[in-house]
Amino acid sequence: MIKIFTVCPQGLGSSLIAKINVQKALEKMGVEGEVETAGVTSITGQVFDLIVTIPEMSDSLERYKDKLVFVTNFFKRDEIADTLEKKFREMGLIE
Amino acid sequence: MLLTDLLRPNLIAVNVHVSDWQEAVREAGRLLVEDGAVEPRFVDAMIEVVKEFGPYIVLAPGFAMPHAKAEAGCIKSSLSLITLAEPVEFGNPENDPVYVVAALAAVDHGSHIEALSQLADVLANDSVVDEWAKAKDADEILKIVEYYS
Repeated sequence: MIKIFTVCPQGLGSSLIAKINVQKALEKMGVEGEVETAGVTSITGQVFDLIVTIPEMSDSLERYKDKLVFVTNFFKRDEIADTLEKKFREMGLIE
Repeated sequence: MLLTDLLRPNLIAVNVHVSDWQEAVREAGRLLVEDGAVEPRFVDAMIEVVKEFGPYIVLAPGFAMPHAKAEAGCIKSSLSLITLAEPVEFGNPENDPVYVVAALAAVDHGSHIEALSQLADVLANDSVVDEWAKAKDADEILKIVEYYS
């Protein structure tokens, strides 16, 4: 079980759209995971494997830089799926 | 709560003339204020979010979704949508210029998820933003939503 946070500044608009599409990508890949949304401040203290976010957040989330995955278009399911698949391979989660 | 519960006909305007992104957010926000969905300060908050965090609200090519926290004066969960007569730049290198602006007001973190999920389904189709931009009235906008839902 992989734990993913989708993070945007406020944690209620963009990150929610991202969460929906990350969940769809996981289903498609057959990876079991839990996806939650967080704002840039509420991520502190959380335990997770991966953060999916937007490039604008890279400075604020610098301390998690090994766990960051960036997407530029929250609605592009194929792009999100491709990015995640690449990351999962790197992490050795899928073959 | 469905997308059409948030995106009500009186919250839609087409071919709106604005000169910059702030005015675009204000126009989308004005519809929410006139509906009674948010207090006027909510509109200022949406602009402040972009000033503070950058143009990340441009979620897809041509499409921006400004929003602010519930505490900023949200009264009922709603989504307004305007199409712009002339596109504006938000400063987002990937997804500018913007010609559809949908302002989201949510009273909490949970109740609008189904509606947003539906919006994500609709916008997963690349042509939707263009189709919205060409719509002649609110009815056409909603028909496009219905078609892709």
